[in-house]
Amino acid sequence: MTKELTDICNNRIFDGVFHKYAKDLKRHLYFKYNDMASAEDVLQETFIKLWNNCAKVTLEKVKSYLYTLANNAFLDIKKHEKVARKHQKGFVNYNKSESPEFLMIEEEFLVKVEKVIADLPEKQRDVFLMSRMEKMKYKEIALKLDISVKAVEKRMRNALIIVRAQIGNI
Amino acid sequence: MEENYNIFFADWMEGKISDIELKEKISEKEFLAFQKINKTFDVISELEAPLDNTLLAIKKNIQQNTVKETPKKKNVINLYSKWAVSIAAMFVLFFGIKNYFGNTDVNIYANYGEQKTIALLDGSEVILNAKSTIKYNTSSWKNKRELFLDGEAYFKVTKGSTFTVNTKNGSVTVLGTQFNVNSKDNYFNVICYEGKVKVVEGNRTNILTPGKGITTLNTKHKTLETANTTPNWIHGESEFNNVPLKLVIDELEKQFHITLDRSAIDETKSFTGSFDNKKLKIALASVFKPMQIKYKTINKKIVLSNDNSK
Repeated sequence: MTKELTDICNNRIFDGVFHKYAKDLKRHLYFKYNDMASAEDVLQETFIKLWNNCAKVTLEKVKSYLYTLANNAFLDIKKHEKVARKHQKGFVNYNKSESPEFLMIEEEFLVKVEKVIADLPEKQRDVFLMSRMEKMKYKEIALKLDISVKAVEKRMRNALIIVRAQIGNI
Repeated sequence: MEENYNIFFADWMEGKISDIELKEKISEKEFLAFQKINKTFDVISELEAPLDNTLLAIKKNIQQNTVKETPKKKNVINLYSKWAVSIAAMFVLFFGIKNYFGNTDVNIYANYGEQKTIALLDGSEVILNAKSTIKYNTSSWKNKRELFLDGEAYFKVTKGSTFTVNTKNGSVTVLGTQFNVNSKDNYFNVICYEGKVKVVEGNRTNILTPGKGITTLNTKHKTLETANTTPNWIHGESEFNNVPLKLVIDELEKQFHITLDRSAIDETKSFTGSFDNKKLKIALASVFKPMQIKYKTINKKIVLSNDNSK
């Protein structure tokens, strides 16, 4: 019975491990790569490897196992990039410094923004989270909160002004 | 001033002012800060988004891998056994239909001037002379070595059960030997070259030993002897021993695919001798010169007439 509950080869346990650690691991990977697509790829790869070695890993050690796998994958990718860059010497990426795609988001900055959002007045925060995080349309938010679209717009605008003011100088 | 900046930020985020308009109002540094905040919103959104799709992708990948790894072999066997079954079914159906219609007969025919060497199922050899046919049944061959001959053929039979050559004029039965059978309309000729040959014509039975032969022409029966070890026609020569000229002329027509007009001559005269199967001129000369018959080519026909000059 206890064996069953700690066996990662068990589908339900595996899913539990995934839900418990995947989000944090993805975040960890994102700050390593500063790229969401790579983070997502390595995250999948890491959990596939965990499944293939599920019998060898105990539930107590699964967190450090996952992070070790993820970090190793990161090193592998960096090695590969180094080789790839060698062969692409002739190409220059002009966009790199200008495009917002390559803006570095440091973990501290992200945590700061998160805190600012969390500290928003409740009405503004709900609208902000639905709009910016859940990508809901103003009309949908209005319906859900049973307020007018105009009111949603107003709350959102206030939220943005507060967030910008709270972040301060960058 | 700073409050204005915050309003610009809100306006820009909501798409009320464009990048260019914003850049006119604020510094480059501040513009980058706006972009960074905007991007951070997106990153937080993505990091906080449910990972259900990621888990699905992982599960799909795991499943594909396990499908790849587990019983590969079994799949292969299944595939081939299915093939084998369908092939076997095809054969059963094919032979079933063939047997049902009794159509396992093999017909081999040698045309004008042709000689065919045929290896039979038991390794026996048949050399078929021009304008001759053999017919046998592959399915009954195992139980009974039996074939039907129309025309002339030379047989080299491998030892084994009785080997029977059926003709319209009679049957020839042997146990491994070499012999020649020539069966035409009213002419039947069997010569044994090796072993023992039993010839049955109606009620009459003859046992031939090497070098011995029989000839029946229009019910007239004769025995004959030869010093040859194989029939001459195999070496490209047609040989006749006291046979009516009609048969010799028939043979000429078969070997050379020609038509001879024999209306002016007596075909019943008997002929002893041979002709070459390759050169028509020599063949005609060797048959008709001794018989004192003239031959002339008129309209692709060779017209024969008696030579009365002597």
